[in-house]
Amino acid sequence: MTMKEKLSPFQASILIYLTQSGVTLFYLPRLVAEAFGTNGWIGHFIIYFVVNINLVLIWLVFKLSKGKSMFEIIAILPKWMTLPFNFVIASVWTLLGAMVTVKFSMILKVLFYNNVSLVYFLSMAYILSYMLLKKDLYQIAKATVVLFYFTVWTVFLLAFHLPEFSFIRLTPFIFKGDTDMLNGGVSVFTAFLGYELSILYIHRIERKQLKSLIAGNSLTTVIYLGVTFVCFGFFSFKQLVSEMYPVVTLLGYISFPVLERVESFTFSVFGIKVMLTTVMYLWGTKELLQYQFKRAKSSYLVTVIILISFVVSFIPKVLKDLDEWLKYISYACTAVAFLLPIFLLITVVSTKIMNRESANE
Amino acid sequence: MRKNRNRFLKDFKLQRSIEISNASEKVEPKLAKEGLLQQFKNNFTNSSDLSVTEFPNLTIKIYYFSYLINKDHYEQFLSKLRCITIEELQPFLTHSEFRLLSDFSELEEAILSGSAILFTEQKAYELPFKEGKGRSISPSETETVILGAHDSFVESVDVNLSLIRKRVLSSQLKTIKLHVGNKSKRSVYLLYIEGVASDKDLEEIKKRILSIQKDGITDTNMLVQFIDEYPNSPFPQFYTTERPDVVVYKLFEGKVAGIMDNSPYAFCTPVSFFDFMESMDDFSQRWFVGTFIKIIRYIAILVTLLFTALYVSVTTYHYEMIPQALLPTLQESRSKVPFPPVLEALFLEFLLELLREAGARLPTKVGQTIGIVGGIVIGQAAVQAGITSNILIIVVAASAIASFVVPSYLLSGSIRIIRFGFIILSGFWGNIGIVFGMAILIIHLSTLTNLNSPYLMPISPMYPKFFKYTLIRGPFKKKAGRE
Repeated sequence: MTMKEKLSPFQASILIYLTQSGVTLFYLPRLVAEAFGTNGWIGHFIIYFVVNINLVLIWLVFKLSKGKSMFEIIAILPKWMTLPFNFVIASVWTLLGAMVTVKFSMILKVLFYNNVSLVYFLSMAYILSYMLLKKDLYQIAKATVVLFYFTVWTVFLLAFHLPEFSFIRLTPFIFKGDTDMLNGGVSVFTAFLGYELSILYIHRIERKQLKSLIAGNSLTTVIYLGVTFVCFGFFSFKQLVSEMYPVVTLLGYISFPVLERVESFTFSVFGIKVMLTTVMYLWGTKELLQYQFKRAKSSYLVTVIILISFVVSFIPKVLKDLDEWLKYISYACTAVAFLLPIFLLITVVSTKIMNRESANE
Repeated sequence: MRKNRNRFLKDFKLQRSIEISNASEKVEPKLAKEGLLQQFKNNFTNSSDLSVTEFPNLTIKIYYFSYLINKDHYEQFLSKLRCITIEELQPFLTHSEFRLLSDFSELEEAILSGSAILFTEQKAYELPFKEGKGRSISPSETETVILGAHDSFVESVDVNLSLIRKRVLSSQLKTIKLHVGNKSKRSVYLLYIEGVASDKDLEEIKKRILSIQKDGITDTNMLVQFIDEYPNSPFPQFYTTERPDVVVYKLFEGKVAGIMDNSPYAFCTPVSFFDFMESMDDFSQRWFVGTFIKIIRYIAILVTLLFTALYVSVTTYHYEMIPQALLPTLQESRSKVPFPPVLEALFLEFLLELLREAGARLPTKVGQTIGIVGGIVIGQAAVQAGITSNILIIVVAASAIASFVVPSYLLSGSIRIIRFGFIILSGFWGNIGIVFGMAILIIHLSTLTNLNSPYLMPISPMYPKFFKYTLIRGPFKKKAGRE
C-alpha cells in the first residue's frame, strides 16, 4: 500500500521480462537471420551475455552505493546539472514507449483492422497505460504478474509447429550467408531493451537483486530463443529473411477443432506485452521528471506524459517512417542503457573517494 | 484508497463506546428517576404503540411494546408483582435477571430490543421478556450444498451467535459488540478466534464500522459496502454468507467475521477473489473431485465473460477463425437476421436478464410460468421471427448457465454486468476489444484490496504454498495448525 512496499524477486523478474518483450518479437527471427545468417538463433547467447554484463553494472551501482536509489546517488549534483541529462533520457524513453505502441497499432491495423482508425488502438493503449501509471510501482508489478499469466500461454502455442519443424531447414552452417554482425547485432539487441529501467527500481527489490534481474533476462532469452529456433526450423532461411513478420505468419498456422486462424486473437494478446513495455518506459520518464520537479503532483505528471506520448504517436505516418524513428531511438536507448550505469558508477566511486579524503582531512 | 483511509480517520474522531459482550456490570444510576423517566417520555412522544402498566400501590410504572415482549412471561411477572408489598419490592428487584439501567441510551436499546422497563421512584430496571419470535432455522436458498450441514443463519442475532458457538467449543472465540448508525444503533458483533486472527485486521475493521454514521443500514450486505475500500468497484470485496459452517471455517483460517442483528448474513474479512469461488461442498468431496469442480468454476467465469463476446467478435470481424465445416451453418443461421451481431447479442442478453430478474422477484409458481414463456420466446419465436440466430441462442444460454455455476450470488451478478462491457467492446473492435477489456479487468482486480489484503492473493502477490487452499482444493493435512 505504501510507497515503500518492496518488490519480490519474482515480481522483479516478471517486470523485466515484460518490459523487454515487446513489438520486436514479431520480426525478431527475421532480424536474427539478417544479422547472424544461418542458425542465427545461436546469436541470442551473445546478446544474452552482453545484457547480463549491463545488468551486473546496474547491480554494481546498487551494491557500491549500499542500496541507494539512482536519485539518491545523483542528489549530490545540483539540479540544474542533472536537468538536461534527465530531460534527454526522459525524452528518449517517452519516444521509445510511444513508438513501440504505434508500431504495434500500425501492424494490427495493416494485418487485421484495415478499416478501423489508428486513434482507437492508440487510445486503448494509453487508457491502459494511464490506469497503471497512476499507481505505484508495486501496484504496477502486481498487475504485471497477472498480465504475465494472461499472456504467457501464447509461448506454448509453439508446440503446434513441432510437427512441421525440420532440422534440415536449420542447415549445418553457423552464421553463414549475408550477415551484418554489428548493425544487425545492435538491431537484435534492441529487442532486449527494457532491462535498463531496473536501475530505477533495483533498490526496491526485496532480496536477490542480481539474480532476479538475470532471471528476468533469462526468461526473455529463453522465449526469444524458442520462437527464433522454431522459426528457423519452420521456414527456410530465404523465406525467413523475406517474411516481414515471421511470428505472425507462424501464429497463422495454428488451428483448433472449433477455431482456426487464431492469430488475430493471439496477436491482440501480445498487445498487452507491448503495452507493458510502454508503461514501464513512461514510468521511467515519470520518475525522472518527478525527481526534477518534486513539487509537481504525480497524477498531473502522468497526465502530461500520456498526452505528450499520444500526440507524438501521430508524427510517423507510415510503417517505414516509424521504423526509421524506432531505429534511432533504440540506438539512443542502447546508449543510455550502458552509459547511465557507468556514469552512476563513476559518481558513486568519486563520492566515496571525496568522502574518504574529507574524512582524512 | 488513501481518500478512504482519511475518511475513516476523520470519522473516527467521533469516539463511540465499545461494549464487550457479557459485560453487564451493575452501575448506580446517574440520573434521578424523574430525569430518566422524563427523558424517556420526551423521546417516546407520539408512540401510540407504547404500552404502560401502573401499580399505584407500589409506585411503579412498566413501559413496553406489547408486540416485542413475551406476553406469558410478562403475565407471570405481573402476577408475582401483585402479591408483593412495597417493602418487598426492592429485594425483589435485586434479583439478577433484572438489570439496573444507568442512562437513557441503555434504556432505549433495552426497550427497543424487546424488554420491558420498570420505573420505581429512584431507579429504572430492564425486565428481559424478549419474545423469541422469528423465522426458524432453515436450509440456505442462495448457498445450497448437497453434502454437509444444511442450517443457515436467521434474522435473530442470538440464534446466529448460538449457531457459531455450537461449532466452536472454545473460549478463544471472542465477540465484540459494536453499534452502527447515529439513531438506529444497529448491533454488529465481530467474531474472531484469539491467537488465530490478526489484531491489526480486527482493529481496522472495528475502526471502519465505528466510523459509519449512516442510519437505515438494514442488512450485512449493505453494511459491508460502507466499509470496503473501493466503493466504485463492481466486485464484492467482503465475503458474505448465510452459512454458519462457512463462517466457522473462515474463523479458523484467521479471518474476522461479523454479524448484524436482523440480518441472516455474516461477513468475513480479509478475503480474496478466490474465496468467492468456494463452496462447502468442495470440502465434503474427495480432493480430486473438489479440485475438478473448482476448475470448472474458473472455466465458467471465462465462459460467462467471453463466450457471447467471442461470438460477436468472430461474426463481426474475424470470420477467418471459423472452421470451413462450421461456416455454412453459421452463415445460414445469420442470414435472416437484419441486425449486426452486437445488437443481436445485446438484445438477447438483455432479454435473459429481464427473465432472470422477473423469475427472482415473482412467487415460485408464477416464476415457473415466466421460465416457460421465456424459453418459448427465446428458444423458438425469436429465431422464427428472424430477430436472432439459433447459434447465438446456444451461446447466450451457455453463458447464462455458466454464470449460475459461480457459487457466490454477488460475484455472479458482477460478472454478468461486466459481460455486457465485453460484448460492446467486441462489437466495436473485435478480438482486440476483448483483450482490452480483459486487461482493464485484470488491472482493476489486481489493484483491489480487502482490508488491505490483495484481492488476487495468492496469484499476485504470489504465494505458491497457498495455491492448494485457494486455487484448487488440495488434500487435507493431519497436522495441527492453520491451513
